[in-house]
Amino acid sequence: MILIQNTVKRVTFGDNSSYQNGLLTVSKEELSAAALKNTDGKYAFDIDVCCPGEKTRIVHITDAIKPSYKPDAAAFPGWTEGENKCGQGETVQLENLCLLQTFAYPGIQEGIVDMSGEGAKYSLFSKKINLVMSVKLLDAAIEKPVLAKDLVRMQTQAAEYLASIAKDACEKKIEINNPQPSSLPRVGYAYFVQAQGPLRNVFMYGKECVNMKATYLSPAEIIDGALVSGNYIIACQKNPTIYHQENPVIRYGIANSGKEMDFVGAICATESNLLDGKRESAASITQKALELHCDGMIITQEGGGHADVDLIFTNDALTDAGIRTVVIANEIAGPDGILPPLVSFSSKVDATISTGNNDQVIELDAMDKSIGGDAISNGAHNATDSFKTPLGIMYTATNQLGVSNMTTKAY
Amino acid sequence: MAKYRVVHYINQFYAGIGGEEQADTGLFCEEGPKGPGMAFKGALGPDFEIVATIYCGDNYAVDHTEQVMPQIIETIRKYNPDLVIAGPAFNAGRYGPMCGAVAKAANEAGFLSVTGMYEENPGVEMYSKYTYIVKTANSAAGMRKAVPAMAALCKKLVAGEEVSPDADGYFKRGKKNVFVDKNGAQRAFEMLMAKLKGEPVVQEIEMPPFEAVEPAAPIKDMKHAKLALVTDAGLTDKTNSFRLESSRASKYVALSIAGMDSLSADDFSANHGGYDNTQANRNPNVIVPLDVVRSFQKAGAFAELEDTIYSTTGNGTSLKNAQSFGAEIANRLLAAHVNGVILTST
Repeated sequence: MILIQNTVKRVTFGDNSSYQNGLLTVSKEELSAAALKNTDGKYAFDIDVCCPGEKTRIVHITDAIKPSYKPDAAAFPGWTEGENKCGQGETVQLENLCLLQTFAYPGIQEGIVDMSGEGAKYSLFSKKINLVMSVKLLDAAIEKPVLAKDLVRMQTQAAEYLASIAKDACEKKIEINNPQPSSLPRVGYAYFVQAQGPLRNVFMYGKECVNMKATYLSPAEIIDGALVSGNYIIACQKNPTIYHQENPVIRYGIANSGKEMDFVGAICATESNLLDGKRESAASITQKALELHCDGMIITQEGGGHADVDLIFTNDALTDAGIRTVVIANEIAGPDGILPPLVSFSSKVDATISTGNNDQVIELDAMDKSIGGDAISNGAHNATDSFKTPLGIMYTATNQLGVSNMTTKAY
Repeated sequence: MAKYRVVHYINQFYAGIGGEEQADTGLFCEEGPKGPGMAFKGALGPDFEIVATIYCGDNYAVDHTEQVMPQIIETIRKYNPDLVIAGPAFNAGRYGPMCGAVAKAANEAGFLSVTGMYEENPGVEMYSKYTYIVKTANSAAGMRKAVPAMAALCKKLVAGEEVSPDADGYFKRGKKNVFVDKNGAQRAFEMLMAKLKGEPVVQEIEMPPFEAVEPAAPIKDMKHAKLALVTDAGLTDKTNSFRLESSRASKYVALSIAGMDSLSADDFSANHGGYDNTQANRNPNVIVPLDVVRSFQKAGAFAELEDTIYSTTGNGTSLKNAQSFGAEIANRLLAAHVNGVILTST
């Protein structure tokens, strides 16, 4: 697969969309029309852009996505039009630009990005240009499953449209090859997604992963839009689409395959809400890892609570099969970090990576402007206020895929 | 260079007054080192001076805590030390918590503080969050090892050096978020490669032991039993007048079901951020099956149903809160002579 990367340096709005030398001009009208194609509900958008260093707070974030376009196929198969050629041919992606979607809805918990100040430390989005589409629902009577699909459709179609503006540019071309086997130790990846129904869903090629069997995905497919997030509920306990596209385990695996190890790709599995389903996931991941002749596996999760059980069952099943494991997880360990960080444990877990404690309290600075709403979801603060909060409401601050350099340290 | 000033807190025994029979000794302060202070003087070296030793009988301290603590802090302030040392207390059950309390109060008053205890001393659990408690043996026989360990930590602290529980032998105070130079995914690969080579790895999340709960004995006579319904499914009244949180619950609620045969959607609702509440709001019996339980009661399967449902939200709720809700609910159920509970979770 050839990845064409065009780096956006500035975004402006205009009557006609265009891209030249890092300047992306976006027609709000065309972007809205692209987003709304094939949706069932009635929606309108506020479209804003914000840059690193601005005193801006984005609230009610539901998803973040990397603009991506394939000249001869769908950028997000199952969502956008065209064939499924994921992981093959050419893909144009916009770098340094992230499309954020915001939407306030009962049950969706607050997710914040601050573009400057204390809060900005905890987000990789604070370091990028963000184009924000704030979704307004015009027909409140819509059924939740229909709404949930529309949100994903709007986000993927808008992302594809944005990248298509720069489809003729080619600033950097890189070849992504799925790693070739050699005689080095083989490392695989147990990649859990949390798919439990509307608004808490993940899609593989457009199909919801609710009852998905453990499925092998190649690194190129994952980078190229195979997985799309429709999981909006808890800011630090969900993996947005961009972190599937930029999954750091996949990225590091590809970049370092053939050096000390061979990276064989991901076995993607869902976190069942039934105990038997969890056992089945753990067993089938292990079966697939054995088929792939894995010597070691990295395990990531999405969500907390009973998702911890999937993590532990899988670790134990792989360990029992003689496969070495490392678990990546975030902690829900109380404000001082001394409470049990997960809800499930095993003596067979002996190698863990912490991506941070959601419960540590931070103090956000006051901002000049908010995007996505005027108040924080619980109604306790104006969106631009300075206030103290557990880190867990900062969007993807302790992301469970290991995107950030944060960990926890005993003191 | 001016010496670092140290105030030392000990009990009546280590002050040489006497043992248990002298535990009612009041609060005193003397200038200079005393008892184990002499060993600290040696271990801390010439840069430190123990300017005062405060001592108090263990029973007196426990019985008069409210008067004693402000006096201790006032005395400490008077000497304006760079550091407060308390104990070490080893496994002494009153002395340990007192050393912890002094160290905590000193800390809050802006003074560095260090104490030392055995891991089973109740003071460890009460105060390890607030001060540095160096791990010691369980009796005064461990003094020769405890003093140098505490002194070494004191030296690092006054010098502003970085300390850690592993390197400096104190009980973990907490864990905080820090940024390191590699992302989580890279660290995971490096840890996995080390594991594959058989090298030791230091994991970033420790697996704590979970408290084992012994199940209650089975109910022998179900026909005469009284049952209760308890849930963490976020069941609340229709308007959630209790303001039960949908996640990170700070409370549980008591809902009356006296005379009801089932839970009506007109009276009850679900407020839980961890699952889709649509079905539960249409029919709350799907999360707490009052309808089915009543039918069993009518058929004579059991005698009586407690009139109150206790409900909280099990979604990101801290273990500490959950433990306290559980203990309170259990006490209320015991007081209501309940024999068994149907606990529904989501």
